[in-house]
Amino acid sequence: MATYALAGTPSAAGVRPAAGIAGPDPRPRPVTGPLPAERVLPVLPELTGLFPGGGLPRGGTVLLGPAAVPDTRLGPRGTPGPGPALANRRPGLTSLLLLLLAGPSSLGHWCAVTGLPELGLVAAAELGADLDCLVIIPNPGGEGRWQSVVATLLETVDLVCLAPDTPVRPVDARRLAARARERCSTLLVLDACTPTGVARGFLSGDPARPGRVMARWPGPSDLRCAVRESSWSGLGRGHGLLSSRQLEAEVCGRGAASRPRRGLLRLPA
Amino acid sequence: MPPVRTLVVWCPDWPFVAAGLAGRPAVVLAANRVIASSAPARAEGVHLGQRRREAQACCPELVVVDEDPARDARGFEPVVVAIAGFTPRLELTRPGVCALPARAPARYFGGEASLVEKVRNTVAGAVMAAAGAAGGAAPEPPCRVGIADGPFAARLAAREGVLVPPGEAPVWLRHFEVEVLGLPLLADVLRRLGIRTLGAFAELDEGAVLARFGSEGGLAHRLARGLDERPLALGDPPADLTVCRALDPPADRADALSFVAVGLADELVGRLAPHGLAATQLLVEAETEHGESLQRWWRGDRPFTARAMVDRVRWQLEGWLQGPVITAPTAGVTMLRLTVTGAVPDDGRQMDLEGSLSAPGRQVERGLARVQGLLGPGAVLTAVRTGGRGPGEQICFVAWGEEPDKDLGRRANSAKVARPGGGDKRAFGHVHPGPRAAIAQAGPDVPPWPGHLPPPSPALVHPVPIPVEILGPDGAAVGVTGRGRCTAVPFRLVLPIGGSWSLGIVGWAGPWPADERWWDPIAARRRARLQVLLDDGTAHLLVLEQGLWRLEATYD
Repeated sequence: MATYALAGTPSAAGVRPAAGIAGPDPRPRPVTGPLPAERVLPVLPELTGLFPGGGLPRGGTVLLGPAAVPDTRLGPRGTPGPGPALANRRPGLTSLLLLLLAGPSSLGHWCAVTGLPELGLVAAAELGADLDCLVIIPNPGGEGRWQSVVATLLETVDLVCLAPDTPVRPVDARRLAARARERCSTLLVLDACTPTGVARGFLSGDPARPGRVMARWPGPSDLRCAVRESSWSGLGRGHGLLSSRQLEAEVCGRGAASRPRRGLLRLPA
Repeated sequence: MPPVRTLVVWCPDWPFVAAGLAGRPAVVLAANRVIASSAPARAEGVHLGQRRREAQACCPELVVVDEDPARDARGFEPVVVAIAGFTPRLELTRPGVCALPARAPARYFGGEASLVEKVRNTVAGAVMAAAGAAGGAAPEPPCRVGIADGPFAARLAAREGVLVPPGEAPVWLRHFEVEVLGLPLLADVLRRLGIRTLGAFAELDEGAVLARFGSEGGLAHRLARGLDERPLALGDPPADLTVCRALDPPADRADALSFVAVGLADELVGRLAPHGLAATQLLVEAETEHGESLQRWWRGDRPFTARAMVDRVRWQLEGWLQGPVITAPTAGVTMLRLTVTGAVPDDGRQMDLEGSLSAPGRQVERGLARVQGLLGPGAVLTAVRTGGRGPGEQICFVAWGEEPDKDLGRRANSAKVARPGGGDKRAFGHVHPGPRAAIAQAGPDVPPWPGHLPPPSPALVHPVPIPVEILGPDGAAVGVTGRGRCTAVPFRLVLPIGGSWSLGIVGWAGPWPADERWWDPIAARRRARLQVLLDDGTAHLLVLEQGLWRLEATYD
């Protein structure tokens, strides 16, 4: 299993480093009432500081997508840009998703991934996921079908990851979120504008609107995870190898998570 | 009621005959332990329970195969068909062992001795044919046949190849060692108590045995006394122990049928459970559109779980549907029926402490079966790591509920296209453990695969690689020479081909050529891979094949 090193964030204005990431925080912090252990799904130790309660909320809906506040630093560098749709993507979301799957699955919690046939499972195993506890449903069916599949999965496994590729009706989103809350399982939604969507845009022969293929989640969510910054190192011009990367993840949401928490994740080879 | 006169046909070393390895030193492994060994391997000192390395140390030329009951059952089907010529009332214990009631056939074929002779000749011919079809020789002798009172004594009689006269089974059994009961823990205790033979065990008081060893010991005691393995206390059996499902449209694939069987088996186990019973004998019947039918009785060494029932259905139907053209059905299966013909009180099973953590709970199994019901059996997948070079080749998908099948993995994997016969494993110079074994031992045991991409692996592997163009600084397309060098410095990536979007390449490494299966004109692939980092911060894996660059995966 890979190991991770976490450094403190470069302190942006008003944002403190995530608690518990870089050792014990010397300053006394107001305790915001951590969730009891039964109410969260465990995540990798490196990610605990990002989540209120130290894990993914059971019964909650967690979005993985672009940061809520547009971050101008992430625009495409150089000229000419490939178009506004491509400018929206945030590299690193899939790695963040794999990290989130690694924690529960390695501890024996069953996880299901629907609608994401592209997911690199070798990478998942390298990041610590237990493929024995991972169920893949590459194609959850068309309109009217995937909703029942996801609802059934929410009753069945602890963590369901959903990557909708058709527009989601608000009523479906609300229903699924309610089902997750009722069954105490976590719904992880890969929200719009991921590189997956870009790739699908090319495949579907509609390169002009690549981001459109991935649908937005119109329903309620408890947390939103985003990647603010991602960089690779190790690759030179004609030499080297992609060897390590740095991700700056941000989690914000409601209640205890209303103040965004950021953490710098270094994923070594 | 005295035990039924039973004839047992025993084909020694059946897994090796089915794998085409009879006559060569070979072992079957399950979880790295030897669970069966062929006669030449035994002669070299290989014994059951050894690890693979220990067995190979005893016998360096040992051929190792993984446990595959489905393969054994498929190969055994022609033999079963041959035996069915004597009586349709057959009972399969496991592939390689088959029992039938002897009384009526013996009268028809002119006595038990004559029946034994005829069965032996017929089965020997069928085993030779099966061994020939699998590409190996038949062992000597190809089969052994015995008759005695009750299936247990008949099984031992078959191993000895004798005919035990009626009523003499208790005396005849006396000299066997207690190990033949097939209960290692019980045999160990008995041995330490100084009870070495079935005769000594049978002399113990029945009540005392039952009190000390429980119902399992009580059953063994009955067997040792030459009695029937009739359940000790069969309450009122449920009236209806048959479940049936009509299939419309007809199914002609074993996996689709075994998916139907999952529901039937669950229902059957559910009907037995309120009565505290578990099935030990199962009748599986299938009928096709054209009225062909196949029925087989299956007897389990221990009570069937729902999963074990489904396995029996799959073995039987695979053997039938994929068997020789003469016996294979001409149309799809329209009806599948399971009937419990023998049941014992269910004592329950204790789950072991370690294995229960990641074993899917009933809730997970039920829920995923429902999803399969919505989308079809092949829609719910689990992933198993295998060897391979590209990111997509190192994973093979297995439908939920299916045992990982090595052939499936190899078919799914272009780098390892199966060759006919069993020669494909040796083509790689080593025999790698089965996928499930690999995954059970948590990844690192996937064998080394020279030339595979080093970690970190890409987080997105595009199912259909996206065609792209790579241009050099002068705008000319970049290729790869026969010596594995780029013809120009990769400068821009244009996607899709001929598209107007181009991204600058700020970092690149490679190309790494992969010349796979060059010895096989059909499966051969020559590819070169290139890692690129684009100026928008994304990293990709590109692959060049037949002059066309494609975006194979994204390091997202």
